[in-house]
This record gives sequence, structure tokens and C-alpha cells, in this order.
Amino acid sequence: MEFFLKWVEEKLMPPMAKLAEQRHLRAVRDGIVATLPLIIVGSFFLIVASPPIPALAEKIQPYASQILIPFRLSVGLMALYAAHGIGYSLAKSYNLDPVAGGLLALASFIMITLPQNVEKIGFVLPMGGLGGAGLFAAIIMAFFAVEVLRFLTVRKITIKMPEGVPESVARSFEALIPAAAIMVIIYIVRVMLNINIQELIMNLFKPLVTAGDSLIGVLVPVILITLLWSAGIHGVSVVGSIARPIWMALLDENTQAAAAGAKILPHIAPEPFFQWFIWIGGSGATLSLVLLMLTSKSRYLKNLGKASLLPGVCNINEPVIFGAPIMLNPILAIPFIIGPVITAVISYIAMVFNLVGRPYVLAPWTLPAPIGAYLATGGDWRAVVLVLVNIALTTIIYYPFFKVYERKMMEEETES
Amino acid sequence: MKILLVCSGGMSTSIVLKAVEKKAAELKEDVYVEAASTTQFEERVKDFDVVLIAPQVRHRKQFFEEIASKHGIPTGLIEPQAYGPFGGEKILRQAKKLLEEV
Repeated sequence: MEFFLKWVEEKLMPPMAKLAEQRHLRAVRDGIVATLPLIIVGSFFLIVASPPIPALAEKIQPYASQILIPFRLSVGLMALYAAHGIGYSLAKSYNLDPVAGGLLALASFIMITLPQNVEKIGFVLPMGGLGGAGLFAAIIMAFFAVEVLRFLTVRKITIKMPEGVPESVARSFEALIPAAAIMVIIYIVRVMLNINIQELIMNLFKPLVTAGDSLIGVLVPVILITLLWSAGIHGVSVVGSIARPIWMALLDENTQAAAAGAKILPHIAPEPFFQWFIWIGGSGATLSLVLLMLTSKSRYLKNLGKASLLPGVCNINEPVIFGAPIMLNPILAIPFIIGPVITAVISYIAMVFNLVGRPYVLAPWTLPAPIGAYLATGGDWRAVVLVLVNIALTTIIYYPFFKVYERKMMEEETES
Repeated sequence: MKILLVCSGGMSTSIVLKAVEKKAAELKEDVYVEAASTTQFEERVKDFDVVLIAPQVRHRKQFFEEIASKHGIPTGLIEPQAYGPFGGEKILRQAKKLLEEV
């Protein structure tokens, strides 16, 4: 195990961390993360529109479409917000004007959607491609816009204003040529050549989204995240750079299905699946370990357990990972990696057979897991049961390793 | 002395922040500590004397270092063992040492 952890730290971690720090992936991560408050608040309107209490749900039903308006304009336009966020972050990382980057990215993304003329209403933009389904198109178009902006800026192909012109005016002129280039290129491809860029990108990434919802697609990120954390690196932040767009696309299809009144949702593994059913207490399901530490005869472990309980309930587990420590600890790293694999498989199977509702609401990740799971499934009490079963399971898995480690700690304590 | 602690989301650093504040109060030292997420970091860093990086984002050290060095602010990596509810003293000592070396 020691050898294995060394391998993780020296061989696996550096290339993964480097990949996650790649400029474009970082922009995608930061851009999408910036939209999360809107998605979290927006998806709560779904619960309000169809509350978990049947009698209440019936009363609300006639007003559901009105209640869902904020949901449609936040979650339903997820890709639109993300395009701006990604363009902003990417431009900033190149030291370009981030506001110009964000706006050009937003424009590039909108321009691949053709407005429709609807009788009595006028021109409208079909919203279907502007939500999670369009997320990959938003990413590609944001890259395109900012790369064009950079290409032209680096080669100084911009309109320069003489000195003395106010900066804001000068800036608007500087963005003229990039804006023209972007609009003309997209116009030629989308309208003149009639290539449906949106659909093209969507089909290109479809296999990835389908794979992300499979059991293997769940286990790969779970294992990578615990491996990275066992080397002391923020696993979700690294793996999420790549996986988050997939998780969001899955979430979007589930929210749309739920808003349309579907009883069984199409996907199992949007991000809330990992957050509430696997990462109970933080990555590695460490709430179980904290509970075991509370009962410990080792003074140090008991104190650490007390100090880590409240953060643990809120899914913050750095105190345990670095304090116990789990990081590079050949004893505790084993249940830290194995526990989540087992709870992932069990939760996945429970949802395949619809024993537990599938997640579609994004709740803040610092909520206690049973509450988070209840909200994420739109108020399914069976989700709470599954969380409790998973806590019990990981406690059993941690127990023998904890006992071995506790004995070692107590020996050290009596020696000193 | 003004210390900026940086981690991924600014959540776990807020726990460490309390540990540092508590220790500083015990030692009657004039210390101001703030926790920042990676995205807040760039805006906040200029107001501080020293930056300490959480161990779980050490793969981003170069990124933090580059920004901090523009303002002439020294950066250090927090040792994993010090990154917890009992690490206040160690972190204070590390911050002081970094400032002395400037």
C-alpha cells in the first residue's frame, strides 16, 4: 500500500493536476462554477412546483408553469451563462479584456442558434439548445471567440485610438475587428453553409455523456478522486474540470424531464449523485471515520473527531484528511478508496431498479447528506434511507482499519 | 501581519483561519487572517503581507505564486499536518518566517 500511495503521488497526481491546470479546462471549470448559484436557486423552483407532499402538490399543480418560470430562465439557459463565464475566465487568463472575452463568447454561442419567426410574437430564440444540452457548444464557441480575439490582439490587428481618447471608448473600438471576424465566420458557417453547429457538437459529445451515466462512468471519477485525495490533492477540483460539463448535461436532462412531469428520470449520475450518496462527509465518505473517532480511546483521534464533526456534517473533510491523516497513510487510505466504490455500486443499483428516486435538484454541497439527498431527489424519503445505509456500510468498512490505526496511535501516545 | 489563506472553495481554509485567530489571540499578536477561494484570490491578494497555500491545491502553487509575486507578496505552502483545527501555531510561525525572509 505504501508503494502504491507513492506511485499515486509521484506518477498519477502530477499529470492529472497539470491537465486540470490547463488554461482552457480551468476556464471551463471556473466559468461553469460561476453559474452554480443560479442553477442551485433555479432548480429549487422545481421542488416548489411539485412538492413531495401529494396533497400540496395537487393544490399547486395549476400554478406549476408559472412557478417554473425562474427555473426556465436560469437552469434552462445554463449554457448561455456558462458561455459568458468561460469566455470571461479564458480571456482573463490570457490577460485580454475579460469583459470583451465574455461578451464575444456569449455572442458566438447565441449566433449558432437561429431565431424563428412566430406568428403574433415575432422573432424568438428556441431555448432547447441554450440549457445544459448546449453546454458543450457553449464551451467550444467560447474557446473560438476568445482564441479569435487573442489571435487578432497578439498580431495587433485592432483599431487603435489616439492617446487621449477615454479608455472605455478605446476599448469598444478595439473589440470591433474581433467582433466582426467572429460574426462573419459564424454567419458563413451557420447560415450560408447551413451547418448546424449546435447539433454537430452535441452529437460529438453525446457518447461522452452516455458513458458518464454508466456504472463505469461513475466508478472512474470516484476512484480517481479518492486516489488524488489520498495523495492530498483536491480530487473533485481536478477531476471536475473534465467531468463537470458531463454532470451538468446529465442534470439538465433530468431537470427538464422532471419539469415535464416524468415519474422516472433518464439519468442516474448527475453531480448530486456523487455529492449526496457517495461523498457523505466529504470525498472518501469520511463522516463514518469521524463518528468512529468520536468513540476512540486515543486522545488525539478523539479530539480530532470532535473538531471534525461539524465540518464533516457539512461535507468539509480537510481536517480529517490532513489531521488523521488519511493522506499518504497506508492504513486509512484503503477504506477511504474502497468504501466509496462500494456505496457507489449500491446506490447505482438502487437507482437502476428505481428503489430510490434519481437526483435532479442541485442543492448547496455544504448541506448535511440526508437533507441534501432528500432535496436532490425532489423529496424522496427513500433517498434518506439510502444515505443512512451508506453511512452504516462505510462505517463497517472503516472499522477494522480504524482499529489498527487507533492501536498504533495509542502506542505512540503512551510512549510520549 | 495580514495573512491570506487560499484553498479551492474557501471552505476548509475558514476552519484553519479560526485556529490561527485563536492562537494569535492567545499570544496577543496583532494578526489578521482571511480565507479565499481560488477565484477570489486574484482580487484579494494585494491587501495582504503573506499568502499561505492549502496543501490540497499545491498543484496550483505556481499560479498563486505568479500573481502574489506581482505585488511582492511572499507565498508558502502549508504543511499537511498543520492544516487542521490544531495547526494555528505552526501556521503563524510559518507566516512570520516567510515575512522575515523577504
